[in-house]
Amino acid sequence: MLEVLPNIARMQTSYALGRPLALPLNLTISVSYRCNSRCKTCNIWQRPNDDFTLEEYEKTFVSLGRAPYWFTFSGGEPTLRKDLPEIVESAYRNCHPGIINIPTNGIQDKIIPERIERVLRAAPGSEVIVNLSLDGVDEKHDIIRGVRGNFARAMRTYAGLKVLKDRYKNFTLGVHTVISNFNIDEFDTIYAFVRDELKPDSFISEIAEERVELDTVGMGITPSIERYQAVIERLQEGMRRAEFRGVSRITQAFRDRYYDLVKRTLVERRQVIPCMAGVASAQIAPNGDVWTCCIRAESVGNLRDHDYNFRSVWSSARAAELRRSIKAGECYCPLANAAYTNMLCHVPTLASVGLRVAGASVKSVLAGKASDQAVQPEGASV
Amino acid sequence: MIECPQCGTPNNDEAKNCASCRINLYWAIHHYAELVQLRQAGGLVPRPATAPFLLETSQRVDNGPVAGWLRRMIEKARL
Repeated sequence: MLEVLPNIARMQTSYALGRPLALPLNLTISVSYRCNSRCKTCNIWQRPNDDFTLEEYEKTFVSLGRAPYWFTFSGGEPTLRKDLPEIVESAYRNCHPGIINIPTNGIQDKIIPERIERVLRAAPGSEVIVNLSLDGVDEKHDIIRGVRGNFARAMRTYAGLKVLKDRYKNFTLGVHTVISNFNIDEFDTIYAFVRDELKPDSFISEIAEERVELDTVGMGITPSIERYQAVIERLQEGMRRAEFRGVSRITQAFRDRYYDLVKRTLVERRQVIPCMAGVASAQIAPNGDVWTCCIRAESVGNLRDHDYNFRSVWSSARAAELRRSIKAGECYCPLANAAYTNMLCHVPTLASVGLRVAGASVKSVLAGKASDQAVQPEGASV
Repeated sequence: MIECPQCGTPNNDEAKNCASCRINLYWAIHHYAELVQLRQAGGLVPRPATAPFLLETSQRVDNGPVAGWLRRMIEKARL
């Protein structure tokens, strides 16, 4: 993670100038809108398909070069693409990202572990994080995700993925929960199940929000701040009580800070820290449209019209206009993906996270448990 | 015509979203009533205060079609 620090100054200068001096370090590639879930919090599956081919991704990744540090391959359900491992291989070969993140609904339990193993083989030098979506326990999960038997299948997928952890040291297995009005009453049950039964390497929760990409605008799926605050602070308390070492200590500190940002964003309805979407982060839609983010999902240009040259799209007049709008605070959101990049590029946040990590390390040493000797129990990152 | 379950605006049969409140009509027909109950139980008003920038952006960039197979499914259900 430390290797991105030199890029932060370039990102900040780009933000200040309103024009890009570098390509984004955090890139989300939505590989398809196709999805076999029918979630109550998402309508992306209704969108028509015009997916990039592997050859089109190859040309795009060549144009990106070593710029992106963090790739997310999302959807739709990304594992529905048979060529997902080849797409990741192309990204790895051309861009050498530090982190590759893949969410999955876990429905295709006979296919996903094998497909993810091929991803792991394709990107041996990247940290590959696979997050299984879990929005409820047992039948509650199936009802929210709109697929009978989804929970049982997801559990089989989880077991299949967990086996891979012994063979691939670059593999992080996580669980991801979207907190919406449909499941906020169940969140403590979900959290306890994840912590006590699944014991993943990491647990992330994201608040359900209205996004143009997901066609959820006007739906009212976001819980009230009062109810969200109550559940998320219990999660934060749990995180603070757990003991972490090394990089986990840093990521947990950022995660804790992210939950604070979400709470403030819900109350203040503004950008709490400057949003670097369109500068440090971006998304490519399945058809090659380049977006600053998935909340607004406004195209700044299509890669097919620019001979798959990302820099050319990134330098378009439309991109400049959207950067101006974002910088002027004409939008705000609690989007996790952009928020982590924003925190990384925000010096006061970086400094406070650094101080907190240093404080925890000193405390650990004073307690006679040097951080490099401390043993993180399985699932402690939950 | 499809009447929006949330705001009552009449929309033409081909509409993906309500012309007024922007809610996805397919979703609203299936889940709106349940969500209203949950929102009220959680102390929220039935209709959300969606950020104006989202309504404006959705109106401007997202009037696109739904997947062809879904449109055919909806038409079949109507018949």
